[in-house]
Amino acid sequence: MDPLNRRKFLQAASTTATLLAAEQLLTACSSPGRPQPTANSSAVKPLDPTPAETTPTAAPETLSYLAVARNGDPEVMTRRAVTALGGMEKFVPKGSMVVVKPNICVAYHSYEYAATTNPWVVAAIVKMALEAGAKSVQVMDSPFGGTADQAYEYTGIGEQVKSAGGEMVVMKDMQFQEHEIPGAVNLKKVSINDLIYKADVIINVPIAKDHSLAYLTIGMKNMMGAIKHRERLHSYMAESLTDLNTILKPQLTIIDAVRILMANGPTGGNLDDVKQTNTVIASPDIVAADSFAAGLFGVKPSELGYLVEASKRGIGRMDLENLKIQEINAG
Amino acid sequence: MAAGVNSPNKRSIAWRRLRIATQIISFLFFLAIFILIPQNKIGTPVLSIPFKLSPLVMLGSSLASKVVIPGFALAAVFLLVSLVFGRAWCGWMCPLGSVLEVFPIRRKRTMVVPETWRKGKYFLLVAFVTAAALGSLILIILDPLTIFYRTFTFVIWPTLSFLLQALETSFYSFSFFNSFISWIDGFLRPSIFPISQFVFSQSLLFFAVFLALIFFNYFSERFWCRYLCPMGGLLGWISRIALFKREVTPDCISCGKCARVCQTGTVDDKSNYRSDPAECTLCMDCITACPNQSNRFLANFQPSSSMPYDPSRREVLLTIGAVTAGVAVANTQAPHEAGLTYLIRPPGVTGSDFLSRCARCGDCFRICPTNALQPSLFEGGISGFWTPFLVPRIGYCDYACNACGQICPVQAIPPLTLDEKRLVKIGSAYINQNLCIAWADDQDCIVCEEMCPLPEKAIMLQKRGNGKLASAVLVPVVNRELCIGCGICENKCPVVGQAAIQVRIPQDS
Repeated sequence: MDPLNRRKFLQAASTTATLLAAEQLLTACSSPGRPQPTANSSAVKPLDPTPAETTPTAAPETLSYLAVARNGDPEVMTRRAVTALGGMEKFVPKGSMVVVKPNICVAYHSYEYAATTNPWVVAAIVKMALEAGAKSVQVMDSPFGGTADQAYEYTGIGEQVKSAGGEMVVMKDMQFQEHEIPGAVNLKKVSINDLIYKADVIINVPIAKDHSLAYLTIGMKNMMGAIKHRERLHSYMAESLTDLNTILKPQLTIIDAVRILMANGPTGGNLDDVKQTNTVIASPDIVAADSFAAGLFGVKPSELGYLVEASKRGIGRMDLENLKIQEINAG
Repeated sequence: MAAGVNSPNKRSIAWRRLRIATQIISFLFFLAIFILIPQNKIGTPVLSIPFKLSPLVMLGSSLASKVVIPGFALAAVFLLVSLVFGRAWCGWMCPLGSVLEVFPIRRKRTMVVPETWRKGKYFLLVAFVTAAALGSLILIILDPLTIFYRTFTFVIWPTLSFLLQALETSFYSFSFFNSFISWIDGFLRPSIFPISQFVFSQSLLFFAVFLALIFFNYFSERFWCRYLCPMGGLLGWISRIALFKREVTPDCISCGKCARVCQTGTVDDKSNYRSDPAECTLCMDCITACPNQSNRFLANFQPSSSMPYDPSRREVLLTIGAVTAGVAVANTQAPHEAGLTYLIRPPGVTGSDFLSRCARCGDCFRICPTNALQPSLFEGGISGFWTPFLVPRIGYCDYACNACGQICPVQAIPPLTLDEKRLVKIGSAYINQNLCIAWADDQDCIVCEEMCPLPEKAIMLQKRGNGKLASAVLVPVVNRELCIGCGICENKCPVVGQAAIQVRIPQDS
């Protein structure tokens, strides 16, 4: 029995090793050239914020470039703002895989502290995406206080998303793949979560927060939750963040400004720092949306380095005065 | 099997099977507790059963810290049980014993270990108790349950997790397997393995210890249990007056089978196949092997006779003296400089009481969600060997977590509520302006300030001079009155290698 067992073992081991080697080889061969159904190649781009779009008339006359809903219930404001842009059907084709990316910051403050996107805004988006015929709606972020599961539960987002029919996803190491950013100024390579990178539609749902005096964290910065080693972006922030936003382009940005965090952000923890502004801002242009939200803090878009850089490189527009903005009273 | 008379009867085989089944169930129980620790959902009372059971942990920790640790009644019950069944724990329940039993590198006794080596476990027991009485709990590292749990925490689980991760990542790169791997992964993480890979300093040392214990089996079966285990020594000592002892009936045909199968080699073929109850683990292998049913375990109030390898009074006194001297010498060892500066203890831990309580069981390392707790070597002095301290570059003390104090079976880490823990200062952050991106390179960074979890941030940003990019650069400054030393700033500092902000132990400690 003994030698036979040994032989069998060796056979099995070598087979396994060969398979693993072949698998590694295949992986190595296949990854660079593999066709990638990315957000970039998606057919749905109603108001494509590309350099060509320096002419304000790119947007259809009847629809708004940016919609702002105020004074209502979070879900109502969200719905009204998206409707003003032409409805969720414009952004979410039937059968598409949708990823909703809120800002879920830490597992120790509930949504009232404005460190985390309002759960009812997120839930409204999940519902609208499903109503528009999305095949699946996955909601995810990578919190840095507590585990993702804890943060999803504690902030109240998990419960609302699940009852809206969406799926809360915990990001795993294996889902991250390194990508080169063509034409990057500072961030040449970045590890992005595959579920987000390969989603048909990305809906970016940041909350507007103070982020260390001159910074605000809104939409562009929210995309940092999709990558690994985000602390590396903090040097040459404006350039790096713009680099990231050239590879990760949400089709729609909906800013939760129901409560905004005026100080001690992005983590918060003091209700005195929270201001109730009852506003939801929506636009396919992430730069325009951020520029408008900056106004809630009394900050001009030109004061935010990354907005200046992003508009210069054609990610979107910060010249709000030239855009068709619809203000809605949802009260 | 020659004749029907010579084959063991069904009842005796059943004994052996029952023992093996019990060992498997017991192993799975201890493993299940290990797996469930990070979730901490079923509550500390259940999760701390293994160490509440261990008389070495509970009595040793109580003795060393001079504080009666809650739950030591369970350890007392455990000792009472051995008054009835002797060392049955070793043969039937001990998870380390079961693991060592699975690896009998050599069953044939070609090399005979001298019988006097059996003294070893008594010496270690006496040394353990002496050191504990003098306030040093370092020898708790010899407790078999802590060896079992440490090996799993520091070596086996991280290794399995690594292998799983490697397999998952390889297969995940094929989109064909995506949903299948995600489905599997959903089962395994985070319920069984952590979301991200855990790493431990000295994991190779823990592995070497475990390998050594297995390798000792080369010299004799269950070498550790026979010659070294202080728990075996304690239970063996009690077993002398235990109720059930092995007896050989007069119809013994002296075939010697029992002596050959005995796991601890205590059946003596030179004195009528009698055995020492202090060595017998009641594994029942002799009953199964006996062709004549001459081996029996009967109630017997007669204490067993002394053995030639029992330590003499002089030897015990010498051990006590040597250990006392050793503890005294160890106390003259100057503390390690790194320990003086960076030995950040888990939240709520103060002073030397911690060292005389900590059972080195590994639970806090296992439960810490950020992998921040690492075993010290000699940073905290020799008495601090393998005790937990925080290494912020590996992980930080999560503002949302108070798990280590909740799980600690001996309350060496106090069971603080989350609100209490958030106010406890475990260290203070200091900025190295020569390394800091903002201070030294005139670039905005702000990561440390951003990450600070306090409602009023302990890191402030001040505008300074003319930066390269903005009109002024924002430089971080620590408010050490607010800082609790959680270490997230050091953990996330983008400077490569040594961080530009580092947590040191608090000034008042």
